[in-house]
Amino acid sequence: MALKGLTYRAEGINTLKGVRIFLEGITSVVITDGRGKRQAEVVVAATNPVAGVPFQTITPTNGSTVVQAEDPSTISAQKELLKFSLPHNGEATHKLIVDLPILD
Amino acid sequence: MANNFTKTGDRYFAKAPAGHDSNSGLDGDYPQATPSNLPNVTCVLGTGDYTVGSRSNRFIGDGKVVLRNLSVSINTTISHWFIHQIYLINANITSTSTGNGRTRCAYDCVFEDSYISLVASNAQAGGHQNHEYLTLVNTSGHLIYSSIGSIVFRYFNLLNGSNILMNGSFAWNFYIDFSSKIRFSTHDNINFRTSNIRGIIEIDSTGDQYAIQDALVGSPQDNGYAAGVKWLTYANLAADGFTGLEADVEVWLENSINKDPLFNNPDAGDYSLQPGSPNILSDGTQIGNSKVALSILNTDDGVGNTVVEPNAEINTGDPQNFTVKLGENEGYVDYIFKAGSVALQLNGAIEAIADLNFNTDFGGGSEQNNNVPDSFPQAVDFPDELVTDALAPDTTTLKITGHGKVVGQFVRVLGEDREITAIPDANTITVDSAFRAAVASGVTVQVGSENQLAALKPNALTYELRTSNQQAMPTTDAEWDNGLSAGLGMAGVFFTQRMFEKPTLLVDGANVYGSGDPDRPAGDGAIITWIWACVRMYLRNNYRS
Repeated sequence: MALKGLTYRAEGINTLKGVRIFLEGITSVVITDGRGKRQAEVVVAATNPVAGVPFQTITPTNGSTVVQAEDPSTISAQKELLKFSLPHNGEATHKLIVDLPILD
Repeated sequence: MANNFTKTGDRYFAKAPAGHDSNSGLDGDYPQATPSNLPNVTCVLGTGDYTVGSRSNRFIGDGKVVLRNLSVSINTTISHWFIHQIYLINANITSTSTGNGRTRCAYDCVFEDSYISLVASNAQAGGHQNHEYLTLVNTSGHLIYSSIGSIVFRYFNLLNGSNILMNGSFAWNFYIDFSSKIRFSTHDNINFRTSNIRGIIEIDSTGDQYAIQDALVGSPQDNGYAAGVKWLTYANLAADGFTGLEADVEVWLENSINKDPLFNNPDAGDYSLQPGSPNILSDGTQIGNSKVALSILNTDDGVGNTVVEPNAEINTGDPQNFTVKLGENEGYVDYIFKAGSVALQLNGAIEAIADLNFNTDFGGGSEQNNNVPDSFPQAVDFPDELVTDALAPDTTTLKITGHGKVVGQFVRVLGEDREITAIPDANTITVDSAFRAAVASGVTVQVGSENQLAALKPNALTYELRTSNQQAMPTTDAEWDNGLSAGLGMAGVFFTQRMFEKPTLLVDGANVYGSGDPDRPAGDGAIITWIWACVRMYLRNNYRS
C-alpha cells in the first residue's frame, strides 16, 4: 500500500556511506621491564588476533599498544633475545602488563 | 511489547503520528509529541527531530534524537544527567553551581553550533559541575571557576572550529582538532593534562598562541600552524614574559600528545577510532569522546573479506554517498564481512555511517526526510491504512466501507489508539472510547495489532542482520545459519535489530526475534556468535517516526 499524496524524491540530504561496528573487548597491552619502565620498539604479537583489526605490533615511545584477540590467545613481547608471554582469555578490557626481564 | 522505549523517565515523547499532544505522556504507551516546559522533569525522547526553545526539562535521548534551539539554565543539584544522549543543534546551555552536590549537565552528547557555559563561582565546597563525553562541533564555551567547588569537564572532542575559554578551570582527556582551540584566560590559568591537542592553546589576555610539539619535527609553521604560533615550552613562555612555569609545563606535557587520532573516516563524519589510536590509553581510559570501531565503507576490499552489494534501487553514482534512486521509495545495501578465523561474540553496536540529519517534522518523501536508514516502513508493512468514507454519527464510530477488521484490533487516528470493541457491520467499526474530535469523511486511520502499534512508539531506526559460523563466505541461505539449530528453520533469515544497541537474538519456542522486532516478547536476547555477518542496511524515503 503506497502512501497517498506524496511525491518521492531520491536526492536528499541524507546519504549512506557504510557501516561501523563498535568493538568491545579491546585489550591494552603495556610493555615494561621488570622495574616498570615502559619499553619502546618491542615486537608484540598475539597468537590469535582478530583478523582485520589492526594493532601496532611494535610499541611506540609510551610502550603501549592495543589488540583485540580471539579467545584463547597468547600475547607475547620480544626485544632482542628476551621474550615474555601472557595467556589471554575472554574479553579483557583491562590492561595486560607484560614485564620483560630487566635489560640493563 | 508495551511500547518501543528503552529508557525510563517521567514523561515520554515521540514524533507524530506515534506521539500526540492529547496523550498524557506519563506512559510510554501514550507519548506526547511536543516537549513543553517541564522544569526538572525527566523527558525521554524517541527517535526524531525536535525544536524546543527555552526549557528546563531533563532530556534523555532514546535512539537518534536531534534537539534544536534548546536554551536552558541548569542550577539544580541532581543525581541524574540533565541532558543525556542527545544531538543538540544551536543550543545554549548554562549551569551554575549553587549547592553542595553534583550538577550533572550533559553526558554522551553532540553539540553543534552551540554555546556551553559552566560557572562554579557560587558553589559550596564539594559542589561539582560535570560535563562528560561530549563532542563539540563548531561550538564555543566558557568555564569559570573561582575558589570552591570544582568543574569536571573531560572526555571531549573539539572539532570544526570549536573553542573553549577556561578561567580558573582545568581540562583533561580532551581531543582538539587542528581547526579548534582551547583558551586560558591568563598564563596563570593554563592547566590541562592527558590530552591530544592538535589545535591551538591560547592565552586569552594576550593572544599568544602555542601548540604541542610532541614528536613533530621543525617549527610549528613547518607543520602547518599559522604565523606566530610557538611550541609550548618553558623557554618560549619565558621569552613571552610568562615566567615561573617550568614545573607546570612539565605536568601539562607529561601525558599530552599531538598525534593523528586515527579516526576511521573523519571525511565521512565517522569519528570512531581505529584500534591502534593514540587516543586509547594504556590504562583502559581514553582521550576524547570516541569509541573503537571497525568501519566498512561502500567499497569491496577486493580480497573477499568485505563485500558490498547494493540492490537495484540504490544509486551508486557517488560511491561515497549511496542514496535511493529517483522514483524509488526504498533500497538496501548488503555489507558482508568476516570477523576472524574463529567464532566471536558480536559485542558492539552496529550503526550506519550516514549523515543522519533527517527531519521528522516532515513527512516521508519530503526533501528533508530522504534516505533514512531504517528497515521498517511504517505504512507499508504495518499498520494498515484505511480511509473513512462518511461522517460518523458519533465519536466512537468509524464508517469505512469493507474495512475487513475484527474486534480486538486497534485503530489509531492522529496518534490516538482505540481498541475495536464491536463490528456492527462490514462498513462500520466501533471503538471503546471517544475520539478527540468527530471523525469526518476522508480521514486516514491506521489499524493494526497492539504489538504493531506499540512498535511505533517511537519508531526506532533498525537494520537487518544474519550471520554464519562457517569459514568460507556463505553463498546460500542454508549457509547463513544465524548460529541457530537447524530445527528452528531460521537459516537464511534476516533478523531486525535496533541501531545503537548490541544486536541480540531471543529464542521463544519456535520463534526467534531480533532486538528491533515489533513482536519480540519481553526478555533479554542472547549475544550473537559469528564468523561472517551480513548487515542489510535499508535506505527509505517513506520513513515516518
